[in-house]
Amino acid sequence: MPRTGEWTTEASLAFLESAPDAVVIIEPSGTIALANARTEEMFGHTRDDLVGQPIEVLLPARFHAAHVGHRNGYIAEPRTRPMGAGLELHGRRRDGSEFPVDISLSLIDTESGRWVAAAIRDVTDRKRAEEKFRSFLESAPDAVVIIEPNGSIALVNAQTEALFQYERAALVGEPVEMLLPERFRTAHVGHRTGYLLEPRTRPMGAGLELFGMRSDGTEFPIDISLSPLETEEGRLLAASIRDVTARKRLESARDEFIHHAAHELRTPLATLAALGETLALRMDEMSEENITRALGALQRQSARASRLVGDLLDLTRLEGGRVDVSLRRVQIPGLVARVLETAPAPADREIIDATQDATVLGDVLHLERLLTNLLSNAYRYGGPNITIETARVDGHVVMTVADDGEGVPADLAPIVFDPFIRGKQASSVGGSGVGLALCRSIVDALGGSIWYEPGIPSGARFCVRLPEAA
Amino acid sequence: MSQRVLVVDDESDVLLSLRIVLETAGYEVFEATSGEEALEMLGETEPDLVVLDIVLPGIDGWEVLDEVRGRTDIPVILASANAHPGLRERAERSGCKALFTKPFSAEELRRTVARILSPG
Repeated sequence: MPRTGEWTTEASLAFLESAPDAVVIIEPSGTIALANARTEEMFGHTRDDLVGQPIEVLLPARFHAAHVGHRNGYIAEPRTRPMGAGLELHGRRRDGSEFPVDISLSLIDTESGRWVAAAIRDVTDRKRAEEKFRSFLESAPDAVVIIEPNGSIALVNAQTEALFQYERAALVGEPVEMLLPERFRTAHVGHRTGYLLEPRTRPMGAGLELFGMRSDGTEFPIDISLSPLETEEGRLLAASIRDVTARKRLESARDEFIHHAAHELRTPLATLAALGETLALRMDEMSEENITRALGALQRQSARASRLVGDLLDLTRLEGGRVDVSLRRVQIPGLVARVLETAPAPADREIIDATQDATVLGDVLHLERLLTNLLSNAYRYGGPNITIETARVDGHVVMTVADDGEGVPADLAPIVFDPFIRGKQASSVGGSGVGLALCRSIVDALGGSIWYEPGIPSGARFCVRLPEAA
Repeated sequence: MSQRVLVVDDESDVLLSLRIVLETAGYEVFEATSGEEALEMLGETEPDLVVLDIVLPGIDGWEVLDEVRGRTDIPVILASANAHPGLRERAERSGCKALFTKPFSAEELRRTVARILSPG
C-alpha cells in the first residue's frame, strides 16, 4: 500500500474500515484482496468468505461474463469514474437477493500490477424514492411535464402522452415550447426564463387564455400550474397541465343561458317598472280605464316573471341532477284529468282525450308539470283541436300531445327542446322559452325520451316515451 | 289638439304600458305590433313621434328607423331589451333622438318625449 509522510498503513486501513461505502480492493487478477466492515454488512458475506474470491461473487450471475470483460478493459485504460454511466447497477447478497448500487472505481498501481478500489453505495432508498416519484407522476390526474432549467423536457407522464398525442420518447429532451401553438413560443421562452429566476407555485398566465397544441397541430384550451422542483441537478420546473375544453364549453353555455334569462326578464320588468312608477306617481292623472288596465298588466307580468324564474330554477336543478325523483306507478288517464283541471283549455280550444288505461313508472309532480307545459304550448301555438293519446310499445308507453295548428317551423324542429328557442309569435302568447327544455330535463330524469314530429297533414306532435309500470 | 305618438312593440303589455305612460302625459297614442304595421300606420296616423322597439318580428326596428328617416323627419325614440355593447353607438349613428333600454323609467320617458316635442 502507498504511504505518505506520517501516514501509516494502519491509519489507511482504519479509514477504509470506517468508510460509509462498502470498499473492496481487487487484485490485478480480479480476486478480492480486502473488504471493509460495510462490505460485510451490505452483502452478507464475511470478509473471510470474500478474500480470494473473484469480484464477480458480489454481482448477479447474469452480469458475470460481461463484467470480466469490462474489468479487463478498465485496467487497460483506467479513469476515476462512476461505473456503468447510464446503466442500472446491481449488487448481489449472499442470500442471492439483489439491490441497486452506485460504484466508484479508482486505481492503485503497485509493483505487482494494477489494483482496483471499488466504493459501492447501496442506492435502494434513492431508487425507491425515484420509483415513488414516478408512480406519483403517473397517478396524477393531470398531464405533468418536468422541465430542465434550459427549457427542455426532462420527464413526462402517460397523461401527457395522451393529452398531446406524442410518444414519450418524442418529447423527452425537446424544448417544452413544442407543446405550444407557434404564436406563443417566442414569448414563452422569456416567461420561462423569468419564472426560473423567481419561482413561486402558481397558476400560469393568470387572466390569460392558455392553449396547448397536439402533435397533429390542433389546439385546445388548458390550465397550467407551475411549481419549482429543487434537485441535485438544479432547479427543475414541474408543470401540471389540464385540458379545460369541457369546462370552457360549459362556461360559455352558462353565460349564454344567463344572457338569455336576463333578456327574458327584461320584458315583464319593463312593464312592471313603467306601470308601477306611473301608478305610484301619477295615479291622480290616470283615467279609470288605464288604472284598471295597468293593474291587470302588473298582475300578468309579475306572474310571468315568477313563472320564468321558477322555470329557470327548475331547469338548472334538473340539469344539475339535483332534483328528487320518486318513481311510482302513475296512471295516464288520472294524470290527464288532474292536469286539465288545473290548466283547462281556453274557450276556443277543444281537448280530445284519447288516452288508454296505461300506467307508467314516473314521478307524479314532474309528469304533471310536463303535461301542463305540453298542453300550454298547444294552447299557445296550436289550432282549435288538441288530442292527447297513448300507445303501448315494447314495454313502454308513448303519450302524445297533438294539435292541428301550423306545427313547429322546420328550422326550429331540431332545436325545439333547447332553452330559449321560441316560435315567432311567442311574444304575443307569453312563452318563457324554457317550457320544452324543462320537459326534456324531466323526461331525462325519469329515464324516458321526448321528441317532436310534424302532424299529418299539419300540426305539432310532442311524444313522451316512458317505461310502462308492471 | 294633443300630439300623437306611435308606439311599436311586439309585446302587448309593453305596448299597453307605453300607452298608459304617454296617455297619462296627455298624448294621443297609436299602437303597432310589427315593423310592417308601423310603416303602414305612419302615413295613416301622421304621428309627431315614434317609440320603436328594436327587436321585432319581420322587419326590425333598425330597418323601420331607416325607412322613417328616408321618408320623414318624425323624431324616433328607440327601445331595446338588449343592452349589448355597441348598441348605443349604433343608435347614435342611426339618427334616433333617444335610446331606452328595458326596463325603463316612466318618468324619464315622459320627460324625454316632452323635451323632443316641446316647441323650440
